[in-house]
Amino acid sequence: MSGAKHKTLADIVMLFAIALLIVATLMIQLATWRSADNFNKVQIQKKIDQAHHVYHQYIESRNATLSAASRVLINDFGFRQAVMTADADTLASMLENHGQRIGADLMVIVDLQGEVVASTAIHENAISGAASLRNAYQNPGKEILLPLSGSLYQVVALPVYAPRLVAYSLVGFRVDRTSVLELRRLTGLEISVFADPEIRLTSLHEDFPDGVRQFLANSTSPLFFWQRPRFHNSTLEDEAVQIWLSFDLAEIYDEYDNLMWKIMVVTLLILLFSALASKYFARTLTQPLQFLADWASAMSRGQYKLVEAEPKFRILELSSLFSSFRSMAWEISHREDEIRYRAEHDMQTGLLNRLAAFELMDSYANQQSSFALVMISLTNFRDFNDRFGPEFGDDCLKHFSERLTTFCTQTDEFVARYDGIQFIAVLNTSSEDLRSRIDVMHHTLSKPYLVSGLQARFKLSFGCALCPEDGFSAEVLLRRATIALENARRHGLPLKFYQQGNDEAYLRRLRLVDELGQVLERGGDQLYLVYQPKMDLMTNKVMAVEALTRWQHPDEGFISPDLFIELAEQSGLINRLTEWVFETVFLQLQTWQQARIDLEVAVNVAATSFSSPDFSYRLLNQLAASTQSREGSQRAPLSLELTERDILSNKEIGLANIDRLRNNGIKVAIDDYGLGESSLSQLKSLPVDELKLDKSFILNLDSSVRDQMIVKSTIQLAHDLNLKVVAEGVENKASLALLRAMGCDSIQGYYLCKPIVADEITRWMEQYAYLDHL
Amino acid sequence: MKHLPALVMAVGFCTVVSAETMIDMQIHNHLQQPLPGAVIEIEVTEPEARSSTLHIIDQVNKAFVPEFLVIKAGDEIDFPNSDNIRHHVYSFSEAKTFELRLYADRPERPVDFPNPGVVLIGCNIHDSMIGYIYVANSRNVAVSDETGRARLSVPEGLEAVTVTIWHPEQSSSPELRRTEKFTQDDLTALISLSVETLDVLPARDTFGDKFSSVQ
Repeated sequence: MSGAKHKTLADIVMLFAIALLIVATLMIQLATWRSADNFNKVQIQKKIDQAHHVYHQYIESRNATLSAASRVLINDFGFRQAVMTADADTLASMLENHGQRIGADLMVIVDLQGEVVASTAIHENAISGAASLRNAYQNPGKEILLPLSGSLYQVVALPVYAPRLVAYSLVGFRVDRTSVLELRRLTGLEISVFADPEIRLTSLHEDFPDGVRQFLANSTSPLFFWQRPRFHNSTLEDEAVQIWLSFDLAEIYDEYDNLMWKIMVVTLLILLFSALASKYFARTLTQPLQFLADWASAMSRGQYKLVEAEPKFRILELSSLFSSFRSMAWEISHREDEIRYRAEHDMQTGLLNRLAAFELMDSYANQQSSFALVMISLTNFRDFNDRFGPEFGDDCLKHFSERLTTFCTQTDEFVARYDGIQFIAVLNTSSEDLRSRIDVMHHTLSKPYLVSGLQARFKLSFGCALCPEDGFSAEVLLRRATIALENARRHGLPLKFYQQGNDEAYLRRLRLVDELGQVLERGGDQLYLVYQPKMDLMTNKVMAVEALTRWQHPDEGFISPDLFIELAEQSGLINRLTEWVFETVFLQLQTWQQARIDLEVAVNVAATSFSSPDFSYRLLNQLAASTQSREGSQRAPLSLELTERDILSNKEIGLANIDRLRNNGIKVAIDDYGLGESSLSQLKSLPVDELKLDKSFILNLDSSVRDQMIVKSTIQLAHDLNLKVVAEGVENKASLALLRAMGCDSIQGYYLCKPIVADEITRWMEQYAYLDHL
Repeated sequence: MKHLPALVMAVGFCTVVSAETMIDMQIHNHLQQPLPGAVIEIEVTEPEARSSTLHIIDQVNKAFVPEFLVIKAGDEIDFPNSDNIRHHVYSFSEAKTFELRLYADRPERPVDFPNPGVVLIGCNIHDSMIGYIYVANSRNVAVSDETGRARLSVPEGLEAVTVTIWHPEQSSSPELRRTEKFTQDDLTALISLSVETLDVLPARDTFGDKFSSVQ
């Protein structure tokens, strides 16, 4: 959730509510305006209609009054008599008199031709010429508006009979401002009367420089920037007279504007209220959401604060969301605890695992605390496992772990399982008695464990490295403790402390292992074989050579065969190395055979190779393959040299391998005989062809009587057991002479020839033919 | 005057033994339709002995009976009232202006008509009552019959005659008497006279008048 594009929920809710309201209010406004407008229009029309009606009523009622009065007048006998008999002046004075009786402003007698006979006014010509009157004579009693010399009269024309129609009488009221005002009072509309040319009567108060008509037609009432016509005008035409009924809309506008303002104010209030309400509503929604979001992000950082009490959320959905969050937080923290426990602990024993130990040690080292790392190896655990099954093994480990745990008595001490059968104890070095603590630990842990009714006793090796003396990181400390452990194991000691320089040698060994592997991968480019001849003392002929492996390292030069063979054995490269040796030997034999050199080659085989049950098969297959690949070749004259230890490390497999090889014409010799654990009883049961006396007996043979006795008796014994004897390490003529005297079958040594490469062997063999002095 | 009442001739004759000629006249209106009820008078210069005859115009059901009467100058007319309401008979005509103020039964004395001419009579309180009296100058007066024919006798040997013609429905002033001159030659043939008449006689209904203006 980032970026300016995101709107808050509160804003959206508020905007939505306001937009909705604005639309709704506008619609209401529009509807109100429309209905008000329609209503007003109807009202105006009604009022106009009413006004027309009232106007006509008014005119007609005035006309009726006029007519009634006139009729009474003209039907008066005296009036008829005067009309028929009197002279014009008398008639005029009579008209004036009679007019006053009925309040008429105009009284005229017109003859049948329309000529004025007598009149109260002096507009005789105007009356005679008035076209509107012609029509009036035809429709007696009808009201007429008659503009006359600047004044307007409402006139009624009535016939005068005496007894036949003899004349018309015109009787009229003057229409003046009073009449107009009265009409306004009756109709509620502004009344204006226009007649050519100068008659202008209006009920309006103001003076109008541009004329009343202009004012009525053009005056406006503003609303904002909108000009509305002020008057709604309706015109009545009566010949030359125009009557304007003008509805003054100002009042309606006022009412309407007032309504509009009210609606607008109400709208604004509603908008304000709804903005506040939606803000409040949004807050009740967003505050809990923010709370939950903060909580979630805290959880993502690994802070599982368990909020038990729910803040006031007020909304059901949010409350249930809170509950879900709470249970989720609990579940996650619970699960993470479990995951962490699993990540840090070994499930089998419940101890800390290697990774956790690593981190703890690193953190201790970073805190510059000093401690001792004790690495414990259960060297014979596999025997239990193999003999009693993995379940028993697991139980043993559990018991062992329990006992181990009891030694962590001080703070910051811990134990961990480092590997399948390797454990770690980190102990405080502050105490003076570290050594004794470790001894006690060794003692206690070595005591038997009662598991499933059986007593298990572990053979333990301890290796110890100290922080900060031996290293500042878990990795270095662990490696050095392992080195110390290896040293202890190699030397058969219960405990070894790491010694300065061990690690460098160890690292060199690791590097050499790595490089040896690479060399073998490339086909053994840095490796080569040397051959040391063996002389048969009976014939004084060289019939066999011993193949020895050499490694010429490009940087380090000559690598000790003891070292790299040991490394090959430890690292599992030995099988491949052995294979390479055989392959090379077979090739060499081929070469020699072609050169008509008859030599038997003896090859040393390491125990780890030989203890493999399929060793013999592989060798025989390899031999068969090399023999087949060359035409006309004979079976390779091959012998193997094994130490007793090699054979006995796994006696059954070793004996089976020997049997199989010997059955296939491969001789087997016991190498380094007399060294270590050689026993005569074993010798009896070993199905071998030859004994090779260890050079330690031979090197000083000429000077050591004791060695002479051993050698002599051993040769005797071997011969009794039908075994040939080879002595190696012969360095002088005296020793050779002694061995010859003792009946030794063959010798090998520097006196005869040092180990040399195959090409030199050929030359040496040629020279040797002349060495009769041997 | 929808129905012209029967023409009452009450002309007195002085029997003079002399040769006379009969003149036939055909009267029609301006639409060339035969016009009955037209009064034709021929002026004769010879003096006549004055005598007075009494005529009666009765008032029955608010109407003059008869409505049209031809008399000779010097005659008298009595206006008895047969209605049970009063009447106010008057005339503003030049030939005779008179007034019989509200009365019942019979006025004090008959009204005399010494001057020839047309007299329109009315009732002041009943405007629908109109009567026509033609006061002739001589005895040579006739009224056209249903076919518009009239016949007058004149003395022989007249070089020219003046014929006066009048009709109550004539479009000109009701009191105007039109005269036409004819030579001896004209008299031998049928004399044709034309009178322009009103299409509708202005009816007077005061009751209707009063309300038609209001409506």
